[in-house]
Amino acid sequence: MKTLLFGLCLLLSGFAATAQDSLAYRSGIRIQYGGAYPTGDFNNTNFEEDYPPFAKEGSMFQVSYLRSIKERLFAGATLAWRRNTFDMDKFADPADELVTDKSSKPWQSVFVMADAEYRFIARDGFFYVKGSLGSAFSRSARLQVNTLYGTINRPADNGFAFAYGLHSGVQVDLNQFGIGFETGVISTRSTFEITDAQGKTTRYKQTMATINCGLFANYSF
Amino acid sequence: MKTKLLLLYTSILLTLSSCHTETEDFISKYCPGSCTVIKGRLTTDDRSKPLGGVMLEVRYEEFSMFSSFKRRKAVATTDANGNFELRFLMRDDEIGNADGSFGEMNVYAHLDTSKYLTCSGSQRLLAYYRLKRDTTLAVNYNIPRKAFVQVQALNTAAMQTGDNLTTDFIVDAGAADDPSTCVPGIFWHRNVTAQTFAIAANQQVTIRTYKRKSGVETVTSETVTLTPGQTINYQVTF
Repeated sequence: MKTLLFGLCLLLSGFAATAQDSLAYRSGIRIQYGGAYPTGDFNNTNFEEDYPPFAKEGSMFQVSYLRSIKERLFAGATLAWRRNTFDMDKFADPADELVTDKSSKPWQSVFVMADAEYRFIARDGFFYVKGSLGSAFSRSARLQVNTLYGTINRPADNGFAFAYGLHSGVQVDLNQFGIGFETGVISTRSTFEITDAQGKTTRYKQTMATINCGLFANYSF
Repeated sequence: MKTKLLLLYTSILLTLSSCHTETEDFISKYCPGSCTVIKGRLTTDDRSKPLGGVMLEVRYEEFSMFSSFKRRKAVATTDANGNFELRFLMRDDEIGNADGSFGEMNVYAHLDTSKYLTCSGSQRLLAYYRLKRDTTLAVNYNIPRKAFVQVQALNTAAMQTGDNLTTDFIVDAGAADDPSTCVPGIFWHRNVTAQTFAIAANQQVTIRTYKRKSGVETVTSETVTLTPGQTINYQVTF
């Protein structure tokens, strides 16, 4: 998958290098889907941390609207949904004789972002860099592990926090339509509550940053 | 022949180097029930000052001549008053049998052993061989800061068969209910005439010397209190 995305990126870069002006349309809608790879603390499985997140690679779906506000500067908004599964096999070995049953639900975030995008125009498309600010509604991973001596039960909790993103990409225009590739990082830091087996509740902050690589389709009007 | 020996030697080295494993037991760390609990207070300066913010860790460890196995069981950090609670779930293979042929459950403190004096000389504070599930242990543990004494033994050349000269440094450190585990000392003999010891600072240390010379036994004691990092010279004479 990674190799495929990288190859496509190179291909699109080649198209873009020979492209020409693409400012015929003032607005566009972009639909994007790709991988979301946890980075930094979100990738943590450190035993010494109170509650390491055990986030695995996941996916992100985005819908964006952009409108020209200057010659090469566009502003808009993005609605994104990101999903990263809990690495249960790292938390409890599949062959663990103490575990009788286990299940989990993923980390999830819904982002609502305001975007500013600057384009470097080529013959049949453009490169761009995009900065995003907004907020994210996040849900922590739910975890249940049944053992011979009791259950580790960690319900999901919800959090709402500031979010930011920084992405770059390339788009090839095919009349009103376009296809492209985007990569970058998106991050938020929510506060969650967790209650242990002894009933003690702890509030903690969890940074949830992912490196994203995705393919998109664009419609300009 | 040399090639065969080299191959054999390499094979043995590879085999030995692959026998050291370390695992992390998250099921134990988030103990769901039947927990073993070690709780208490960590202090320094003659048990008068709490040691806050020290990370403690429980590990199950098995050692043999050519292999080792470590399983991290629990971590906890002492609060501002030095209080801690380590809670973990023991697995069947960690509960020793009657002749104790299995491993040991050790408690480690993540602190700077160049500044703090532990009874083991390492970060290991406690070792248990017979722990069970559904058990709670209370431990109040003193970790003094370090001072140093350079001890010189005089006239050891005069020691004969049956003579004896020993110097102990008696300090209240370690577990409150078992201070005897923390008495470092030295047996002097003809070839050892000087040694530097780390001792406890900010609390009394009794330096006790036992001497048996020509069948006559004498005991001398002196009490010193040093500041952290301080070094003094001390002489014992046979």
